[in-house]
Formats: sequence, C-alpha cells, structure tokens
Amino acid sequence: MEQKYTRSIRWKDELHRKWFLFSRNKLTLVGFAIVILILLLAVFAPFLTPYADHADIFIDYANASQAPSLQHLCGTDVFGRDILTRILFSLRSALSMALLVLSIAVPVGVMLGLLAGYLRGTIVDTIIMRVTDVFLSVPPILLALAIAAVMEANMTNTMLAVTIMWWPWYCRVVYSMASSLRSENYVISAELMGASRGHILFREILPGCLSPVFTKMALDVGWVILIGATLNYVGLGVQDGAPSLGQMLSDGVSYMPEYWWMTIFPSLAIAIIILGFNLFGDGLRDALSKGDQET
Amino acid sequence: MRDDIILSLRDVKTYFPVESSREKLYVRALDGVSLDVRRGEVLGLVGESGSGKSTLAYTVMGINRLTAGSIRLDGVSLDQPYQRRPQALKRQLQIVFQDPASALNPNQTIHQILSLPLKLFRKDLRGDQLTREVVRLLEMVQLPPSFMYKAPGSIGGGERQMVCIARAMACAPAFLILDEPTSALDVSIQAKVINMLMRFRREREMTYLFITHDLSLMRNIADRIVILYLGKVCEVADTLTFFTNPLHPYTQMLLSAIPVVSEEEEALRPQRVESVGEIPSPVHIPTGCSFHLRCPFKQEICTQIDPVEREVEPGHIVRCHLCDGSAATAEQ
Amino acid sequence: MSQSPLMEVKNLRVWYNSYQGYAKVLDGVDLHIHRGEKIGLVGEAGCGKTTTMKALMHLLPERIARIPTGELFLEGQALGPLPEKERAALLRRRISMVFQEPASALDPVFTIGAHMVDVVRSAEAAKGVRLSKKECRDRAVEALAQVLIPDPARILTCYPNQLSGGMKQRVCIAMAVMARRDLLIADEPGTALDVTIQAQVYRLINRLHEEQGMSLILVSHSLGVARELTDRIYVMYAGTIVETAPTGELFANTLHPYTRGLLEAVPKLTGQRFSEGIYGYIPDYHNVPEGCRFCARCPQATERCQRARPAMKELSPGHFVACFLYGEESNA
Repeated sequence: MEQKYTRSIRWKDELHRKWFLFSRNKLTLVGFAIVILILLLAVFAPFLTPYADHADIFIDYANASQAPSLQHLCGTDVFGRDILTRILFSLRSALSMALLVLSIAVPVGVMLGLLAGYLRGTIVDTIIMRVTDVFLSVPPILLALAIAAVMEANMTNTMLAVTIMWWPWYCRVVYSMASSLRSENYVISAELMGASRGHILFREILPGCLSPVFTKMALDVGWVILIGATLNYVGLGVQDGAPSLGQMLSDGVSYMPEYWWMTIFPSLAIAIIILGFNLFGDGLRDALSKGDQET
Repeated sequence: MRDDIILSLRDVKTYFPVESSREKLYVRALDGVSLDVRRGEVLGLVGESGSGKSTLAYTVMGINRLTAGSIRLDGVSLDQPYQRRPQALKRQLQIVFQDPASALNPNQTIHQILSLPLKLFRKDLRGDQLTREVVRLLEMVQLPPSFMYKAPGSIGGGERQMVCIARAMACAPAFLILDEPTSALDVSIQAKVINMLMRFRREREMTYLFITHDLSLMRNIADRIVILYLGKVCEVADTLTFFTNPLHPYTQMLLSAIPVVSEEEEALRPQRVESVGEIPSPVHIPTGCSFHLRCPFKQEICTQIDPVEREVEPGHIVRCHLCDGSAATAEQ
Repeated sequence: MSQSPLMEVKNLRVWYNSYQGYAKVLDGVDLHIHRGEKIGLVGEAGCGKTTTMKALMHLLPERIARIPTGELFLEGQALGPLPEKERAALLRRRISMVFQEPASALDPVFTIGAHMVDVVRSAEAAKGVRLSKKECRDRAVEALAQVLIPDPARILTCYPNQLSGGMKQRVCIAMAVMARRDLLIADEPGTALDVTIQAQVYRLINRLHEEQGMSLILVSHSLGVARELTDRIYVMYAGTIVETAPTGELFANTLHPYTRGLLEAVPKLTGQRFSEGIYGYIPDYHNVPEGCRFCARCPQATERCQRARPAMKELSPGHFVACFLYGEESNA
C-alpha cells in the first residue's frame, strides 16, 4: 500500500504524443528550429561576434558604410558598426521586450477573461468585457503614439504602450473558453460538491483555457517584436546606442539603395523572427488542440 | 402504513423562456410533476429525449431553477438553486452524469479528481492519508491503484464512469441520481457498472433515481418505474405490475419497440402497438392529452381535456382517459 | 450456389499510424453479402466495425490509414487491379450509406431539396440520363413519401436544422433509396434516436429492402437490433470476425465465448439477472496479443489460445466460428 506510484509515466507518454502531433508537420519543425536558433543567438550574442563593443555607442569612421565582406558579413553602418553584431544584440532587446510585454499582458488578460467568463451574464462580465472592447477599438499604433506624446518616448513607455494594447486579446480568448467550460459537467459536479470559487476558477476552468493562450503567446512573440520594431521605426523608444531592429531599419532607409545592406539585413531578421514564431505557434496549436482522433 | 418517503416532488414545473420569439413563449420542460421516491428503492425514470427526464434530475440537483412547485429531501426544502444549499445537503444528494467524458476534468489526474470530495467532506485527511483514501476508492470500483496518475482521456469509457461513481460515493450520499449512467457504454461493460451500483446500494442503503430510456434494464434493477412524456407523468407502477399490466398506450408503445434477443422475451412484449410520430415540441404542447397525436386509441375527449392522474390499483397510477372511465362515458 | 456474392472482402487488414507506431486495427476480416441479403455486423465500440465499412467504401483517412492486405470483389470482379479513382467511383455507384449521426450527413447550409436533387442528378447522370429540375423534385417528393414523411413538398424547402433527428435520418434513408443502389450500409442508423423512433426507422429499412430488393449491411452494437433486422450476423471482436451464422441459428446455438458473453450481458425483459459482463477491455491495438485476440478476456481460454490464432471452422451449414473450443475432436 505504501508503494510510490510513479507520476512521470503519464507525462512522458503525454509529451511523446504531443511531440508526435507537433512534429507531424515539417514546417513546424523549421519554425521550432528558427525559434531555438534565435534564442541561442540572443543568449550567446557577446561570444558569437568579435565586435561586441559595436553594440553600444561606437564610432569608427574608417570602416563606415562598408558592403558585406568576410570581416563584416552584413556590412557596417554609417558609424562603422558591424551590422550583424547589432542585429544579434537587437535580438536581445526584442526578445526581452516580448517577454516583458507578455509577462504583464498575459496574466492580466487571462485573469480578467477567466473572471468574466465564469461570471458570464453578471455585471462583472459586462464591465470587464466592455472595457476590453474599448481597448480593442483604439488603433494600437495610435494609442502608442498618444502615450509616447504624453510621456517620455523611451523603451519603458514603448513597452507600456504595447502591453496596453495586448492584454484585451488574451482576455477575449480566455473569456470565450471559460464561458463555455463553466457549463461543462465536471465544473458543475465540483460545484455540486461545494468546491470553493478559487478551486473552480483555478483548478477546474483555468487549465482548460491555457492551450489557446500558449499558442497565442508563441505567435505573439513575433508580433510584439514587429510592433516594437514599428514603434522604433517611427521614432519611439529611441535609446541612443542600444541597437533595435526598427531603428536600424529607419536609419538604413535613408541610404537606400546604395547602402542596401543597412536595410535588407535587419528586415530579413524581422521576417525570419515572425516566420519562425508563427510556424512554431501553428505547430503548438496542432499539438495542444483537444479532440484529435487521428492518434 | 405509508412508505418512508425520502424525496418528494409536488407539482414541479420548470420552464425555460424561448429567447428568439417575440411573444413570451416557454419551453415547458416539466409541467407539473408530482412524485415520491421511497427510501432505499431504485426508481426508474423512463422517457424519450424531450420528455423532461434530465430536466427533472437537474431541477432536483438545483442546476435548473424551479419555476413552481416544491421539492423536499427528507423534509428539507430543495427549492433553492444549489449555490445556496447548505454543505450538508450537497453531500446528501449527488449525481452521476450520462457522459463520463465530460464529467471528468481532462486536465486533472484521477487522483486530483477523487481527492476533491475527500478534501471537502473529510477535512482531516492529509497527504499520504488522502492518497490511501483515493486508492481505497479506486479499489472499491475495482480499478488498480496505478490509475491514480492517469488522465481521464487515457482510460476507457467504462473506467471513466467507474471513476465518476467513485467520486459520487466519496461524498457518501443518501440519494443518488443516475442520469443514463450506462447509455454511452457497451453492454459488456454496462453489466459490470450496473452490478457494482446495485452492490453499493445494498451495502450503503442508498436510494437511486435511475434515469434511462432502456426499459429492459429497468426490468432487472428497478423497484418502481415512472414514465414521463412531455414533462408529465404518464404511468407509475412497481416493476412487476408495469411489465405485466401496462395500461397507458404510450407505455405499451415503448414496450413493443424494445429490440429483444430471445423468444421468451418476445412473448413478454405487449401485442404490437406500432410506434408512430414523434414527441412534439415542449413549446407548443398539444391541447388535451399531450399524447393524443400519437395515440392509437385516441377518442374525442382526448383532444380536448387533459386527463388527471388516477390510482387504478394500489401504487399503480395512470394518466389516461381510457383508464378513468370518462372516455367510455363520452362515447355513450 | 455458383453465383458469386454481391460483395466480398477477403483478408482485410487496416493499420492506423499513431505516435505509438502502427495500430493494427483490422486483422484479416473476411465477409461477403449476397444479392438481396441482410447481414449484420455486431460488436462492441472500438472493435473495428466502422473501420471495416469505411474500408469498403474507400473512406479511410488517407493520411494515417494503411491497408497492408485485403481484396475486394464486386460480383466476383476483383477491384484491386482497377485504378484508385475508378474503384472509388464504382463503389459509390453501387453502395449508399446511412450514418449514425444524421445531422452530420446533411450540410446545414443547403435545403433538404437541394440535397435530394443533387443525389438524383448524380445517380441519373451516372446512367447517362439528364433530368430537369422539375423531374428531380418529383423524384425527391416521391422518395420522401416512401419513407413516410408527411407533407414532403414542405420538407424539401426546410433546412436540416429545422427537422428532428428522426426526420433527418428518414431523409438520409430517402436519399439512399432514390439513388437506387444495390447495397445499403447502415452504420448504427438508430443509435442516436429514441426507441420509438428507432423502431420506425428499422421498420422503414425493412420495408425498403422488401420493396426494392436492396441488400443491407447493418452495423450495430446491439444484438437485439441485429436480430430483428437481419438474416445473417457477423460478430466482430477487436478487428477479427469471431463468429458468423444465420440469425436464428446464432441466437439458438451461440458458440463463441465472446458472443455468449455479449448475449448474457444484455438486460432481458424476462428479468433474469444478467451476467457480470465480460471481464476486461478491448486490447490495445498497438500491442495486440499474438494468439486469439479475445484470449485475455475469455473465461475458457487455454494456454493454446495465447500462442495461436484459431481459424474459422464451419460447424453446421453456414455457422462458422473462430475458436479452439470447437470442431477439433481429434485434439480433445
């Protein structure tokens, strides 16, 4: 009777199944590889390039505006900084921005959506969902510009702006899941036994809402980076020295088409990031979605 | 003399508003049901879909709001929705749902599922003791302890229903509603589940309200049978009387439609009352007797006047003009 | 009887690809049906009944299904050598199918009329006849009247969601009738319906068989239904046929332990208590036992059953059984 029952068996099997579903689509694996590569590049950026100091304020007019060569694979910018280095370092800021935005937007959105979904039809539901609607009806870029106009245009405020336009989406996703799950029999039977609200919300309903949230998060990392780059491009969140993809783009555009590498490589980086996270997210959705009888 | 009544329903009505209509229309899911359940019996509640049998279960459980009438469990009122019922009452009254797949949270392990009622009703249990109790529950329904850390999705339908039953049993209820607990299962597994349920009832002196559409099953396990049609009771009788002397034409129709597997059984079916028509919408209930559109013995009076329940012999209640003499009078 | 059967399958195997490798669902299924015959395919859920029918109809999901062995004959003509497309088209010209869930067989955005006209058109086009819209509609009205739908002209203008389940199933049957195929495959046609509606649907199928001489394959989990509707029954267990016999013979002289177990587990109207059911569950198809697939659940299994697969043996005319218990006097 006192034997220990191994929990790990179930998780191993489950992971195996998820990986089967995930890896069935070859494009997903490409996405997965890109995501891993991006993470590795960002983490090990300082060790991957001999020009680590180019990431900061650095001027070397002798090497300015050089075309791609073996020394500088992606060329240099007008200050003589290695563009590849700056792209690698900008991955760090882009990813940490995505992480920060999501780590605020997701919990807030999920909590509010969960509450509104569970209390569907009550005043709480109405208030939360109407506020959500208001946020969703404001064009995101406009809101970000407005915030930037009122406050200082730095990185923190840019992130704040992005966060404010991001949580309502999570609220919506979780709301629709929670409001349908709350009439499931397992929720009702927990309630019939007199389980507390906390138990119902966090143990019974919440776990069922998470798979679309994870999928959306994977997709959103790409989009947050894109929006961040857009805001940088129009001049928000400028911090001189620290590289950002958007700013590299906007700096480079004025030198098109002679110094094409200043624009092409950062845009390529953005495109690859978005593509990678999208493919990864699609695969995640396939793996996490319920009711796949084909296994 | 009167049997000990554990659950009594008096003129229970449950209406749901029809939202899309301009004038105020209601789905009359339960339209005045009066019913007594005796302590320790298995009462079979039988009807087609749309008859209101599940609504009755949900209304007793407090999931549906009661529109009119009263429900009492052991003299305690059950008129309020479940959220406002005291914890002790919740423990007394439990339900096993039809579809075991949706009754178990797919994101939890069996351990988590079974420990919920234990945590709620036996607050002294902790850690290892709790696990031991979960194992005991699993053994009670003849499942191996290794099932604890499985997810409901990775076990079979019959096993899931066993877990649902174990969960209900963990509350130690006095009254258990079984809402078609085996209709999603194969016969070979159904037999096992039913036998287990019957054993629990004997050992724990519980009362079952067994909702089903399967009359042959009821023949084997029910003490009394209630037939529901369009939210109203058609016939109530103890099982033997019910099968030897079915009086309501609807009952006869149901009985003659049962597919059987032997000739002895065929002999027990009433002479063919051919099934015709379908159950009408509970929004527009026909005038008079609600069954008259499908009834082979329809008379003039049936289209106008709704018959009342009448006790034709002790404990045998029928709601039909053919059995209260008024049809015969009308004919003359 | 030198005439070749209307349809015959030999040694059919179907594997599904999953994360645990191949699930070897069907393992050497042989079955045949003569012109005008009504056969039943009976077994528990998950024993491969539907997979067999899908394999017959070329409806298996191509992405994950593999057919390692199996030959299909239509009136003695082997379909294997035909090109893929031609084979599928040929099958669809000869066979129509009625599904368990009538709701999923009808497209919610088209009216019943649109569905039915389509069926007539394609059926006639296959014969090289072009019908006008008017003629198609007349045919549809006629077919609906044949399946006893009141007011067929009005039903034609309805959308599927405006009809009840029984009505939809009747429309599906009407479509199958109109196409005038040689063979109707009915996959649990009444399971989603109420008993009285079920009885009506079965009666209808029976009548159409008599009037049109259409052959029928009934797929069902219920022995009772198969008994009422068929001439001959195949009992299927875990992707193998374990017993086949003319219906009367099967019930009078049940041989295979699985068939007996199933039959004993059915609740009877006679009220004799049913058995404890069949011990255990269907094996995991990824890891099927080498010997008889039923051996883990069989009360009479011997050591031999674990080692070898019993072959089909004819014990009396038309009564075949795959079990070591029978037909080997020399071994006893």
